[in-house]
Amino acid sequence: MEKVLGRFEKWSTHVAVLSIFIMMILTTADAIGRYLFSFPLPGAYEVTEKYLMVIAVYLGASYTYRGGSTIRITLLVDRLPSRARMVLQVFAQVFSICYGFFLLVPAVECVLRAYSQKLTVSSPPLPLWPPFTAIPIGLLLMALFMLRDLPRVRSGGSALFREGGSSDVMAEDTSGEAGARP
Amino acid sequence: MIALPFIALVVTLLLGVPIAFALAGTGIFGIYLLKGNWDIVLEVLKNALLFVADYNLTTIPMFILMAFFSSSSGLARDLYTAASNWLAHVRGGLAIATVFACAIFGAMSGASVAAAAVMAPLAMTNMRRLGYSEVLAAGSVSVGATLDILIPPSVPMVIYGLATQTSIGRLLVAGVIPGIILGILLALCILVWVTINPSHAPKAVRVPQAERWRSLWKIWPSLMLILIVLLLLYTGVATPTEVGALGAFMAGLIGVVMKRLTWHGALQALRETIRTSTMIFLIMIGANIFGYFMTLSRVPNHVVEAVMAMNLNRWVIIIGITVVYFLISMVMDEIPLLLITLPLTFPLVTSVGFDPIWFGVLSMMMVAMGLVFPPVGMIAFVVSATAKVDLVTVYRGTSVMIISIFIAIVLVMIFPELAVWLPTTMRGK
Repeated sequence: MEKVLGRFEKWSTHVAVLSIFIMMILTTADAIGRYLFSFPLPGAYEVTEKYLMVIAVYLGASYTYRGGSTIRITLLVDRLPSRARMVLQVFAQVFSICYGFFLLVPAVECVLRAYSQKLTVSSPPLPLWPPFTAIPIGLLLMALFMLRDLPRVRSGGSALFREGGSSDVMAEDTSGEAGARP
Repeated sequence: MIALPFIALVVTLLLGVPIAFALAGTGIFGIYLLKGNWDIVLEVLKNALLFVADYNLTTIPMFILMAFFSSSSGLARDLYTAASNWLAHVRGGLAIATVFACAIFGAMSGASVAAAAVMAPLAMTNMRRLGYSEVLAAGSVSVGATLDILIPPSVPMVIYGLATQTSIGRLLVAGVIPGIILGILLALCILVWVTINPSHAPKAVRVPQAERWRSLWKIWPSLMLILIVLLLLYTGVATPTEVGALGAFMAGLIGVVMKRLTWHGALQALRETIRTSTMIFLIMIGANIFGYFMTLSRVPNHVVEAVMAMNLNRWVIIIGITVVYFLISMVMDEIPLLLITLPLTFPLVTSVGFDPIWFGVLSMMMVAMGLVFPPVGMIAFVVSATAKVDLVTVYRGTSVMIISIFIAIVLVMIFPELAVWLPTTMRGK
């Protein structure tokens, strides 16, 4: 299970990284084409916002979570005795898991609506459901990683409470010890 | 009943729930409380999830990518070397050079935390080696990094613009003069500090003229990048999103041409961009859900009506907001702070006749103080962690240099033209 999750996350992050890179190239080429040659790239604007942004943000969600990039207010929690802190951390983890799984309902509905109503971007008429599929996939991965981390809260291994984050989560072992760093 | 979601938000935040999830969770609770209908909640959530599919929002990852490419390409190191070579003959010159290098790096980067992470190890190592006190060194790099928030491109400015529907191009340009003034005030602060207490900085040394010019020659690609970015923004020739993409592309290209940006470095910069951007977008999605609840509850309108009924002087209102921002920024990072408070403060400020762009600049300066002030101070954390310096030492340094930010805030309050004049000279958007 760990291995499968890790592999999925690796690929989803690669796709997210590629989306950001294409976004940069496409926007640059569009701007240069428009202002220097009066020839904007057709569809660059809509592909960027409806395809690349959605894919980059949601497929990068689990990588972001595992990197410890969730901002929290720790003013009170840090001053509590370790037992009370543990209880609150479990509460925060459960809250996050519930939210993550709950979001899957509207996320799947977004895809189904785009598919059933045959929604497309206006030019070129590309279907919207493929990029929207990234929303439930990305959120599911993030929610599953959060669920995996629940038993690790006690040992301090949950990524939710990792301060500042690791500089390279991808380099971590995804075979089971990924979140269990001290 | 309307107060319940607000109370729930404060409680969940204090209990350590991630800000993005706390905002969304309590927003969902609030909407259900007011409407009693899950279909409406689901519709709001669908809109919130698709909120990221907006071209204007791509400005955020592009500015962040520009920062990470600039950093991976070693442009910050060249800037720091040039600044320190030219200012080494002044007592405290290296600390001033750090501030100026942060300011110039700020013009190539949209994220102040990135500037702190890049500059701290560089500047601290050099200042330690030459006998500067840890307090002065850490203070100058931390507060210097906050200049990034004001000097375009600035991610918090973009977020302010998106949250308040204010022109992002004008906002970014508006930060230039206050940013320069703050940079000068920080330099003056260092000079006064080392004059009063010379033990903080060693005697000045003079770097040979040839070495100075050599270091200056190395930074021409960075200066070119900055010039192009600022010109494009100022003339309105390209949109802020296009400027961000062009800037990131050029920063990457400079790194490749100079043979400094490796495959691994570029990949790392892209991954960091994903992580930082997604973190921001998750908070924005949460703020979007909570914002919908606030609109339904009409709380912002009630707040405006209640404050207007008090017949307060508008300066009392703005000073009150400044104090509240400062207090909240002590425990919360700048992006959630802006997203949570703007739906309440922005209508209030504009209803009493203040300029939205002026308030934008002022908000940035207020959150800049919070970024280096205890107990949270995200930049202080970054400097402490990356330069291996005690957090209390960082705070001792920032508590002195924060006076400059305070003076800059007062100046912008007294002379609003400092912020609003430059955008009025722009032709485009």
